[in-house]
Amino acid sequence: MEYQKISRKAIGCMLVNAIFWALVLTAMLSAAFFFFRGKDFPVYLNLVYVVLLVLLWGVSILEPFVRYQRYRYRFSEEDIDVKEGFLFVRRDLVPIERLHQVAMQSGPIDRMFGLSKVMVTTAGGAVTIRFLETETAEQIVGRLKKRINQYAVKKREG
Amino acid sequence: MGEQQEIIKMRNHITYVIEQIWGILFILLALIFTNADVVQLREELIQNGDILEGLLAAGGTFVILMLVCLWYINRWYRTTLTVQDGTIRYERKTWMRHVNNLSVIQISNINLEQNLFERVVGTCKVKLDTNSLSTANSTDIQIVLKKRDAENLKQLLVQMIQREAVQEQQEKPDDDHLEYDVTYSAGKIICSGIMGMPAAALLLLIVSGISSCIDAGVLLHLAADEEIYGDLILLGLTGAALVISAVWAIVKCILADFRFRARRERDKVYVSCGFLKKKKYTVPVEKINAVSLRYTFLGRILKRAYVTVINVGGEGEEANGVKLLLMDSYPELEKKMEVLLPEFTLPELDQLKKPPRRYLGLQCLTAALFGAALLFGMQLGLRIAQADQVFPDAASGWFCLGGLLLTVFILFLCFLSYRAAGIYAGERLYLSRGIFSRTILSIPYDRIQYLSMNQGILQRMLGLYGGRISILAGMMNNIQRIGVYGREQYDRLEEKYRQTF
Repeated sequence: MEYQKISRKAIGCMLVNAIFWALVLTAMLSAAFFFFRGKDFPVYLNLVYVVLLVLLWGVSILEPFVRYQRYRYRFSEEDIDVKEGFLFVRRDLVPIERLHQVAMQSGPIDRMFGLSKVMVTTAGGAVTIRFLETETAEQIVGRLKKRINQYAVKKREG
Repeated sequence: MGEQQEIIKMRNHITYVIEQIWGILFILLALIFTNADVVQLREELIQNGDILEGLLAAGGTFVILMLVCLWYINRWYRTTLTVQDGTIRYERKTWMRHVNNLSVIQISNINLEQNLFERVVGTCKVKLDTNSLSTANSTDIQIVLKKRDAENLKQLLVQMIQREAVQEQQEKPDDDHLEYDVTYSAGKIICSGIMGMPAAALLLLIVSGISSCIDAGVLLHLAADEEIYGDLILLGLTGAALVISAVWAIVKCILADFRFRARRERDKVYVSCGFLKKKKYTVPVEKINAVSLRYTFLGRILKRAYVTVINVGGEGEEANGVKLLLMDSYPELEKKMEVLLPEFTLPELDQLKKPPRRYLGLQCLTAALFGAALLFGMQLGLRIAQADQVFPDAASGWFCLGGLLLTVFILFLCFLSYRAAGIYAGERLYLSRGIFSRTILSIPYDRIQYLSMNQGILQRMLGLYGGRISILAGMMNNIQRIGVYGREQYDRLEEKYRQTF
């Protein structure tokens, strides 16, 4: 089975999230900058402040587009395979037979864009597949539950 | 304790209350009898004939004492453990009502433990570890019973788990008289304790010894007045305290491994050890998710290692794995593993593949960049401090030297870490890592819960991958870092992993 891309709505969702955090960090950085600024404040630290702000906003705006391009997932009969990341790319491989629990979650920003995330839990931890359209997420959860039940029956029958 | 259908209800032995509150009792009694003001006031009041007021002078403390006692007695009385039809019900009907229902199938370990107090009063702690990871802390159960009752409970639970005949188990009432497959002489236990000393403790011992000698020499050489003797005594005491703490670390290891014995019986491994704190572990083989071969710093020099098993449960000292074999040479460990745990062979050290050299280069580059950033930060901080005349100008050179030495030390650690790293995705997954000490894990692929791989920007440029695996184990062990290797190693690992599902 081929890797699938996530919904384009994910870019909006990631962008809203990134802008929120960029605003928070800008406020914190500016507060620190104006708090320590005095008569003897070195001029080059003004430059550092400006560079940091440009970097912060540049990364925040660029990140959603790069992450969207990199985000791939694949559900086969045996496993779940998810690739994602911006600077650090991560790939998770989870065998379906080792799943204990499947859950669906959506936060307020997710709901604004009609997106949900699927959390698959194994005995050793959980892996999350984000930015799925709610309908797709429901289908995936349904399919996974069915597969988990099949494995449980198979295991019980020995 | 008979048939499985019978309801068995028990509560902690009454000495459990004393064990819980003796510390508080001691402090409160010390407060009553040592607080000079209270003692004086009480005596004065009693001498003046105000006996009641005299008693009330210490009354506040007595009230607290009584309340503490009552609280613990109430807690003891209302805490029960019931075994019925394959289910264990642990109930605490206090203000914060807590009921824990547990199926015996969920039990991964049944451990018996005795500390010094319990040995004196003849009780024993039964610890039930469960399979559950996410709820491990809330589902694990422990109860203090009379030693005989504790052993009976353990047997009953083992029978319930195994569904075996009662008769066979009852023939073995006392673990102490059983034949063990692996035993150690006192000499081997002492050697194991010495070699098991962590690198930090060894370093502390050496550094404190050397620095004490140098300082004493310098002091004796520089001055001959009487003031020096006070400094010398202080120096001697500090040195002695450091040496004693390092020696105590070794003695603790030796006492913990005292009479270390292990045996294999069907699908379980039984381990017994300890002097001050006597421990008995029962580890079901099917619950073992990884075996680790551990070389301490001294062990690496002397080519000796010990073996631990990683399973669910375990707390405190066992959180990092249950010790299965003491320090020994590799061939000896291999022989003993064949007896105790033939399902898990030890990793062949020469099969381990080292990370690519470019990874060492990348690590060195990262360390150098860190060092440069550190030096820049230190210089910046120093300039600000010098402007405020906090430091003299001459300090700048010393700060630079310190930063440089720290960078060199980090580079040295990178090299040591590179030397200890290794991977082999063969019949099982073997992972090696460490800096001064070295740990080599042997993990069957079917115990890996999921595999996660990652790449940073520089790693992507160099074709390197990092990653981790998740196994069913306690908090300390459930995520195992794989390390940074080339694509071929990760492809091989993925291929082998995929074969199991």
